Amino acid sequence: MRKNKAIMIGAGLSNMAAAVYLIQEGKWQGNQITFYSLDDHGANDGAPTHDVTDDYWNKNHPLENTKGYVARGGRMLNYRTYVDLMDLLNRIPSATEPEMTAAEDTRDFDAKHRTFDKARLLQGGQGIIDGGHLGFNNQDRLLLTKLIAMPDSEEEKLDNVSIADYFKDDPHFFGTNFWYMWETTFAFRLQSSAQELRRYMHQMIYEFTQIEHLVGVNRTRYNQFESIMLPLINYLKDQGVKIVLNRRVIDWDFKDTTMQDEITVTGLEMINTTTNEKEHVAVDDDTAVIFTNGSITDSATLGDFDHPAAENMDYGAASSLWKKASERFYNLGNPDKFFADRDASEWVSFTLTTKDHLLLNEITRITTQVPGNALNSFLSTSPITLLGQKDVNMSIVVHHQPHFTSQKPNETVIWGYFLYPRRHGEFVDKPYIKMTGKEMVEELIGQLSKVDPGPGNIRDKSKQIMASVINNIPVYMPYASALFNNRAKTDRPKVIPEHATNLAFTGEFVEQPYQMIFTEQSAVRSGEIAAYHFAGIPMSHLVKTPRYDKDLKTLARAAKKMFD
Amino acid sequence: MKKHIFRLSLTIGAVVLGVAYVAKKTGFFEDDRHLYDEFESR
Repeated sequence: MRKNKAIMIGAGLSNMAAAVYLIQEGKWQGNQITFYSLDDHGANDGAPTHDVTDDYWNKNHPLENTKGYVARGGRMLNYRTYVDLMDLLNRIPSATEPEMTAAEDTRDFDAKHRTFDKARLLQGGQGIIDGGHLGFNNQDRLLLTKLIAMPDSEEEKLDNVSIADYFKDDPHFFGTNFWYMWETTFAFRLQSSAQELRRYMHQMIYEFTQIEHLVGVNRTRYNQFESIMLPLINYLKDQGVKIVLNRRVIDWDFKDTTMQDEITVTGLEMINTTTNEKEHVAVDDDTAVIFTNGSITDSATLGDFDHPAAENMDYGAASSLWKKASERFYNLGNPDKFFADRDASEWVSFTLTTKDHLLLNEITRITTQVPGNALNSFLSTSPITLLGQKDVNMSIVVHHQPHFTSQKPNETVIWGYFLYPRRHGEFVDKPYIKMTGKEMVEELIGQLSKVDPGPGNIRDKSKQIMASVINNIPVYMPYASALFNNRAKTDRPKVIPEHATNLAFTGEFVEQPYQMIFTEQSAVRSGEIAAYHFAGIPMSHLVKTPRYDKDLKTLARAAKKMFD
Repeated sequence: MKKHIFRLSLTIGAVVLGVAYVAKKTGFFEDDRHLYDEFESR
């Protein structure tokens, strides 16, 4: 239904994308659009630590040490698949590179810093492992082929089937190099949705042949806030879009109808988180409400060098509002599937800032690759999973330096994460989730020492490395993998739900054809669909999605790779 | 000669049918464009 004004709930990537498409394709004026949000960095964050200590989730957990940088998550791009994201970035100026669009900025940087991972997997006693040998047996190949061969129209067969369920007769699969790389490249867990794994196998099928080197991965010049979010914020503000921050929308007013299934928003209740006062915003007939109904960084908390990140038990802000809507209407999904199962979704990440390049150079020596090229995952040397298998302990991303525009030339920023934060460290005998930033650095040095080819060992330089640390910020993210949680197709609302007259859902917790989630691609596309709907633009004008899963050459290469 | 041509035709026919069957089973010719119809503004 066409509208002439829009209220955006949430100022993440998807809603910002919706606003850009409304302005550029719908020919709207910026002042027709208003955002209400807790903050404007979304999940694509990255900032000096002292800039985020006043953020909504951090206010109740003040930090003693606010030095250094923090990026709660880390993302990789892929031009070939992220076509909607690249289309969006091509429409806005870079925030850091004059005369370039944000897309040109990323392409320029990436062309000069191609990804070629030389140490994707490392294991004590073996050093760098040849990940190119995927390690499949025939049962693995059969089950994976069946998954890939399942057509889109039969996807419901995988409703409520977890990856562990799907491979229940084939535990060998979880001990293959393929699984170690796939789970840590994309952050899948055993409890994650097999339906989503199928979508990934389709949309990322060509990555199958090059996963050990991550050749298809593209990177932004700086952290994703400065290279993606800031260009969007700058552009939208220039266009006159109103971005109201420190607002938590807590409830809806819906139109009452006889059949009770028409979804028409008539008002929004929100809290001004600065004053703690309630505010009400009326929604008229000519206004669309575009709602990002979940965030993987909601309820995330920070620690510092001497303190672990506190566990925040809050249900997410966006998902709380989704829940209110889903309790009223039957076709808006089931937020509890994603936000009431932390065991399936939580991670701990850390952002390490050092004052020099000592640790950076040591990692470069051990992994044999230059910064900016890699995702390094450390495999355990003893069984650590419930199935009694080895698995990845921790992963690190050593960015090209500088990763922040305000970073001093001699400083280093490294990001890492623990996909299973309740597991115990090997060098610090406590669960990762209980570790301070300092203990995480000790664990990292320990893992590096196990794969150090010598001569000498990184442990010999532990004291100097510790002395070089400015800060290490652990981040607890209870919902980091929530978007992968086991689900049925009906557990997520459609971007435009049936019977909705002025409400659209955007982001990573919506159902849209073919798209895999946990990618800026799907987030942007959901915003694009919402914008086209309310601006009356035919869906045939959406950016065309390439189907590599129907490309015979790609399929043949993948089939061959299965036998490597 | 005719026998050979018949056998060859039969083989090619079987292969084509097999490929078509696999393509259909795997949704190779499925087109998802219609799935966006429900998102159109009305």
